[in-house]
Amino acid sequence: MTSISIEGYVSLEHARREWSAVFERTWLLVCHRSRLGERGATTSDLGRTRVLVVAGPGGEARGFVDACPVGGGRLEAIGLPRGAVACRHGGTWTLDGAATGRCDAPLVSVRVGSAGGYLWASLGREAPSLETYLGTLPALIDRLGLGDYTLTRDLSIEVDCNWKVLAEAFNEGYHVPSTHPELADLIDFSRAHIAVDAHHNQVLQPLLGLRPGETMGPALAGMLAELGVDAKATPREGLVSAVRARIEAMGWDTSALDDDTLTQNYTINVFPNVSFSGLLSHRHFLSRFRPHPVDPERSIYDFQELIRLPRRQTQPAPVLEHLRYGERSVSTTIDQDLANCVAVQAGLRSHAVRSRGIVLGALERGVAHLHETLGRYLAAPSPG
Amino acid sequence: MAAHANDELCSDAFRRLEWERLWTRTWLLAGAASDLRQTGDRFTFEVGAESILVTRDGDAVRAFYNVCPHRGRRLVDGGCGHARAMRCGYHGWTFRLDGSLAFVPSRETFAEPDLAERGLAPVACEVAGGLVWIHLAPSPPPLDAFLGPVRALLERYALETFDVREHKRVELACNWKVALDGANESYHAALVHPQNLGVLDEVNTTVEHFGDHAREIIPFGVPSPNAPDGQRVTPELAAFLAEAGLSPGAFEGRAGEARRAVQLALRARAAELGLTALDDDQLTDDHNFFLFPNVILNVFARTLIVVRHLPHRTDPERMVFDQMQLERRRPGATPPARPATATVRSGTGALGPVVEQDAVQFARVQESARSIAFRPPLLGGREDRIARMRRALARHLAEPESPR
Repeated sequence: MTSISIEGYVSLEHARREWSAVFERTWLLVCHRSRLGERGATTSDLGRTRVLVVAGPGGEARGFVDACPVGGGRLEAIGLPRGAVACRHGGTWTLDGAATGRCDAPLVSVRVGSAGGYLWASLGREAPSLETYLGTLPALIDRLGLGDYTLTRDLSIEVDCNWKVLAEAFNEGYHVPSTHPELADLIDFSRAHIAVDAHHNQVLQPLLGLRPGETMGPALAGMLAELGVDAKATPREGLVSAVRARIEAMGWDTSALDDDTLTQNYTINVFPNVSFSGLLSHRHFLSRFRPHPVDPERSIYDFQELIRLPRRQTQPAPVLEHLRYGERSVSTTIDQDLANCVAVQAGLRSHAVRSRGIVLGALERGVAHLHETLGRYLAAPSPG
Repeated sequence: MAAHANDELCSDAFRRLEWERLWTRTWLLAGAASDLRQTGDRFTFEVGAESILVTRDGDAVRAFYNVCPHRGRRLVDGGCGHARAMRCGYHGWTFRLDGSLAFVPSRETFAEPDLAERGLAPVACEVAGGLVWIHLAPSPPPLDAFLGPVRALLERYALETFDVREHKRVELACNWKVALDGANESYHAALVHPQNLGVLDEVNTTVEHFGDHAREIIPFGVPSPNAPDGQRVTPELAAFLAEAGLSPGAFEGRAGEARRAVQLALRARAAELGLTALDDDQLTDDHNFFLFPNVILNVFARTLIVVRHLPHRTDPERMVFDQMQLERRRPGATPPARPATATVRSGTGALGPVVEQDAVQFARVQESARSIAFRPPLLGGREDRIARMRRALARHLAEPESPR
């Protein structure tokens, strides 16, 4: 039996400790770099804290806690790129956070960094540099070319479950054959390469239908068609090079992209609450699991879809949506995952689960790893 | 007990105490036996944070915590269903009707040499009086001792031949005891339910106590002394006569004769309708049972209304009102299809006029219970069932803690 405290999914006291011991001591994903966009500023709710990120004069990102340090209330970036930060009480600050107006206290600054096409923030002073914290992940993310992708859909869904229930679903592929039967002919979930490090983990699973002798399902055929590859007319052994040729024809450099990466479904789980996944170097998904600020039994599930478009094409603005789970369907796969998560949270309240705990198999190594890492942060004064 | 008069209706600590010492230490009515006719039939019963899964497996009726022992997902959706095995929708773990583990996908990826102890966690379950009962304690006292004489009284009705024709659940804005108190006295009926005064006599009733349980016999087909015109045939009395095959027009001006006429009409068809075991008063009257802690059974000759007053999962100021209407199946008739359990909202009329009228009063009581001016209720003679219920509750809450 894996020792995972069920109290951790329902207790407000635990959620508060988790926020200060984990979320304030790690690097948290803020947003896709494109969101900083032309205005040069963006805000992001990370859970119990909102941050304001502005582009400094040299284009570098600077972060602040999104609250007036004197009277509270949100901040606003004005007159960018050479601009300033203001609040509703008439306070103003330079982009270094120095007060220049009526609210006479500096802004609370937040370390912000850029990696893998995304902006990241560290709320506390304890976290190591972003580079140290992410380790080899940025190189991996760069190899996948995620910085080249266009954000097409950005959803936030309030779900009735603890954020860890969501994170667990994305930290294992064991549920996929049962929960997502429609993916059974796309990805071979009986095999997985799982790699865990001090914080993060990575799961690689082969796509089905690219190798000689494998049957190709409609999902993969459809995705190939989207890329302009006719699966029927292309011999099996030529498929991978055909995909590569299409990506190059769109104007992208594929020299860093190895065949293995092209033929696998990859999942990268960044501690504590982000999961990247994608396939064919064409479609890419990001999931973020934000704790609700006051309710341990709720969380915000952020889902982003990215796609590789021709290099010179004008980038369309992403579709932004905020909703509550159950309001309407989001996608078959996400509907299935969220239904499980809500049902897990309901089950975790039961005496039967509290008294007997849960059990994890080898294909759920990522779930155990998530809890081991959380446990280290919660136990240690400085987990490093 | 309660430090303040309103604690028992508003305090979260009191709600938790009730959970630990009442709900997990008493037999609870989980459902109707007629919902479990064939092997594989099942229903769920939700109480507080728990969902209990009840299944028929051959001659046995079994109950389990409705959670998958792998990762804790709710195993089956709420309501009724039928399946020979129960499969978790998350990872595909599959269980037999006896709760044992039948299949684990990629079994070899689990280190445990024996996953047998990962079967469904059982819950004590018994069938009596055509009703299914569960108990959340590991070694509960016998159900017979709990029901006492009530069991034989219910058995006369052969409730296992009653089919669920409607099942509604609604969240009400009051503590579960506020609604139960309303059901435990008919003193409010003259003012709150005036439409029924032409068809029932809520004053001249007979109450009998059986331990913590009680039965109140409420004569039907006879106008209340509170009815403004006792001999008028109201629409409610007309419906009551028509259900027995009698013409309402024939009773205009002599409504007081309706009860006996209905008894004679049903007696004449007793064999056809399956009513031969019942006395004449049972053919018309509401044998209204209160079964401690939370059940009201309105038992009529051909109809049964089951009301369960259930605590909200987290909020002492909310409750779940669960009402099932059952009808006696004629001898030899085919059981009708079981309607789905519907979750409805109060104030929409979905609960019928009587419950909607009550829900308004319940919400007002709960609102005033929050006031510092709230005092313990002053109970009259016709509200004695409320006082007795509170004494039984206090006795439960005073019992020392025993580990579950």
